[in-house]
Amino acid sequence: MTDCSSPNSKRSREKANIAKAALDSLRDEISSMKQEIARLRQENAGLKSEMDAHETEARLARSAPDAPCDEHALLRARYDRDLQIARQLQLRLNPVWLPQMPGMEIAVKCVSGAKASGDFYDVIELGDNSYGLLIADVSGSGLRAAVVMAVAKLAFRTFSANQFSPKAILDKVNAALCDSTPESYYLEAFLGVLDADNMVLRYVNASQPPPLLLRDKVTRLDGRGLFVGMFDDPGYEEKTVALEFGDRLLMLTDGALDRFGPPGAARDARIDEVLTANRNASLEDMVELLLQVPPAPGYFEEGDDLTILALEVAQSPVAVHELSIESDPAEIRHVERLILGLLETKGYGERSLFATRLALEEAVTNAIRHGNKHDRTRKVHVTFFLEDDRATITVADEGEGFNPSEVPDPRGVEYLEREGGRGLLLMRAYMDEVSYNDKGNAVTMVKYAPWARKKSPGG
Amino acid sequence: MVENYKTIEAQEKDGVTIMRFKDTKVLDELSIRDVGLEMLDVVARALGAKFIIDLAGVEFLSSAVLGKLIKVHQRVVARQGRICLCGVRQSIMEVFQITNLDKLFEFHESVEAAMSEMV
Repeated sequence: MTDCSSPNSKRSREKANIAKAALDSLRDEISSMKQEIARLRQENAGLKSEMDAHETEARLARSAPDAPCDEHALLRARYDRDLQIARQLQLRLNPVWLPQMPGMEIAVKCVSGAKASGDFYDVIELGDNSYGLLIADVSGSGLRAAVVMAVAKLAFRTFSANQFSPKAILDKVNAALCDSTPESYYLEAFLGVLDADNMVLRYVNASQPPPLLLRDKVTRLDGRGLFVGMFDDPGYEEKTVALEFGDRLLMLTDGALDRFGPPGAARDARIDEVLTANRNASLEDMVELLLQVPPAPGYFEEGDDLTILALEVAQSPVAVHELSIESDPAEIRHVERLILGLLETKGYGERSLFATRLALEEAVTNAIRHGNKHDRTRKVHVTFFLEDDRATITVADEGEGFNPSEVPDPRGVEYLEREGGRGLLLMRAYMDEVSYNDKGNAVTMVKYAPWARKKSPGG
Repeated sequence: MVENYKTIEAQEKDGVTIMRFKDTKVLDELSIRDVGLEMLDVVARALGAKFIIDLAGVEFLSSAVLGKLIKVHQRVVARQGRICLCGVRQSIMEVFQITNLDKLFEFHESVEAAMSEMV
């Protein structure tokens, strides 16, 4: 699944007579790299193991037998070695294995270029069948970029613990990197959080080229957000998209996109054409195809890293949700949050949401009050089934049940001043279908989608 | 009136007591119960017998809240007082219409409109 190759081993060494000036700047570069590493090591005690690995790498490289004999060649060799280390570090930082995401297929291609330009990706298991999908590109190249990458990668892992909001994660990573990396070091990143139960993707795009969502057409998942690690207030905008069966999500770094020419409408059109023309290719073949497109003449330069992380929704999202709550009115909000959240993502408008919320609240309140008689040991079971044209909610209690036909119409003048007894009326008014089971302890309510048949308010 | 209430605000103006919900999405049963108790307390302590419940900004309202409003209504009527609701948005007005409670309550568009009627 993962394929990381490191082309280009060592740069040519025959150019021994490099100009003095170039040499000096190279020497400065190397010494500042060393300082950088030392500084980062101090600041990030948590990164110690990563750095140790890097040190070992450096020692091994130092004892290499091909020791050059003059100063030029020595520096050149050091530079090459650092690049080598950077690439090793980069390869090592990419995931060795990816978590299994039920219903999702995944394909990754990450090629570390000659310049080791700081691409990396990650798939992070967040629990609750949610996954963080990260693709990023560190500014600059070489060893320093690789070190920043290591810091960033760890930061993403650290701050995604118990966190399902990509904005919350990115805000924390940004703050941490602003504190710990030198100015002028930053990264472009796209972070999505996939809720694989509901096939909903929440995402923030921090200046990465927008990922491509391939359905019949190609949509770009863009959003506001500045580079990570540079600004105190990067203004990350979190967006949500509901994924459908057959959707493909393709995340590409600059290096991979540059084959298609300079950024702009022409490039987008070229990419879209390749994707739609190969809609039926397997996911892995599609990734391969993208990497083998003949590079745009006069623009594309070899040597950049290129990374493609691709996902496909290979199974219909689970449409049935079951939730049991204690007979405590405060629990209603959990049910509401789940159901209204899913309906909103599906495209239900304000009126439909109001209607469903009201009916749901009445049904659960009845179940707690009249069904379970506020007995905390009894539960209320809510089942939610979402189809393209309708949402079906069943609310069942553990009580004796009742006969809904015996409930008087509360609209009658004699009942108008009664405090209760309106729940069922409201459920019937706001939902399109309401029915009880024979025992009378489970009500099933149907709300048509706003784009389906109109009947109840908000329908 | 300087009582400090948890869930509502109450002020008296020209002999009319105006009440508002602090939480415009009155939700869980505990706060609904408090809203009910506190409104009744306001009614009990008020010097006058004219009341306005300002529902402007209220985005959601379940039958449990309707029950509390009815109770307050009864209490005011028992004192030969007068009570009206104002600032009710369309989506909430529908709830009153469906339950026929638009016949029970007196409605005005805004507090100002209600004041000019009642004072």
